[in-house]
Amino acid sequence: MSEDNKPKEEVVWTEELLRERRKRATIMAIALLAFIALFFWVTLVKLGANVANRPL
Amino acid sequence: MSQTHKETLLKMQEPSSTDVGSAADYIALMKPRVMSLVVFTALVGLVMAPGAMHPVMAIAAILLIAVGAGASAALNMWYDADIDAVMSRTQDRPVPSGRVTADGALTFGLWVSGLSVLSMAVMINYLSAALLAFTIFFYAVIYTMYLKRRTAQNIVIGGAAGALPPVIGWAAATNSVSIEPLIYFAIIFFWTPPHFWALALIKNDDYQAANVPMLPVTSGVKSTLSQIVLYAFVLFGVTMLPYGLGFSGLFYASGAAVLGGIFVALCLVLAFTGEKHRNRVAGMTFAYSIFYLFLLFVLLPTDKVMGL
Repeated sequence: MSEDNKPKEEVVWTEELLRERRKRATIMAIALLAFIALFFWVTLVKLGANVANRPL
Repeated sequence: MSQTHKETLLKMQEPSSTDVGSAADYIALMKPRVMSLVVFTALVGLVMAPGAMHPVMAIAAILLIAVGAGASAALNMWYDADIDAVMSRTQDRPVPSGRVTADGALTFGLWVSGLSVLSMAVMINYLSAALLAFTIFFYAVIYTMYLKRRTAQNIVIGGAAGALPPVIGWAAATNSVSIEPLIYFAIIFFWTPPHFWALALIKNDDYQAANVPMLPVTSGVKSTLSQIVLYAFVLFGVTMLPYGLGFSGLFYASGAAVLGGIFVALCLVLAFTGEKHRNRVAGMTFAYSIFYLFLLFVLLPTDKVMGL
């Protein structure tokens, strides 16, 4: 059997591993939302009073 | 190359295709303890800068510096997985222990690096983004991929990466770099060798097994001890520069003199300690060095607030 055809070790997704994966996905989602909020907040600070003064 | 190292390298080439890393493993990839010192020194650079920065911008800048530092740590762990697996201090890290795949660590490191630098450019300014990009590149490529395995001066030159955060903090606040942040850079730069070599003395066998040319491995314990003492004296002089150049007052100078004096004394004691107790004193020197740098960077803004 060549190197490429060698079967790779499969991970058995136990309840615990699945729970960890769900937790990881949740934390990633929270981090992304926090990052979006930070971007929004910084944009508001940068625009400052110009938000109110823009031409309509 | 030692037999253990060879075996580890061979073992690491076997594919581990599925990433079972938890959130905690990915946080561990970012070396949170190192990150805390980076965040702190960057914050001091930002606070010491003239003018006031909007708190939201300051929070964003510090967060992005922390994330960038964490990303470079992940790239370091990806590249160093083979030697990490050999050393007792590092073999439980996420990649050598198999909890995170090497590809997972690389992808994470690259994405987070790019994201932190781009966000820094958009949110803060181009200069701080360029400095952050340079820091990540210097740590992940120059230090990790080139210096670490080739020269005993690895942590001396590589120390520049760890010394840059206060410069980035200053640049984030002022969009410029002046002599003050360069002095803060010099303090961390000259602090790094005695700090790391104290640890390298304790972990000498590990570094030897992993084939990493740390100074105690290449030049022996005696030479390392004299280099530690030499750097401690130079560091003492460098920490006096903020007072000498007139941008810190007597409060800082007296505090730095006492703390630096203790550090020099500890390094001298280490140099004259016999083999039997050397590791214990080296451990004390290593622990004190962290406390010393932390307090130096507490003294700087405290002195500024007190205006003495």
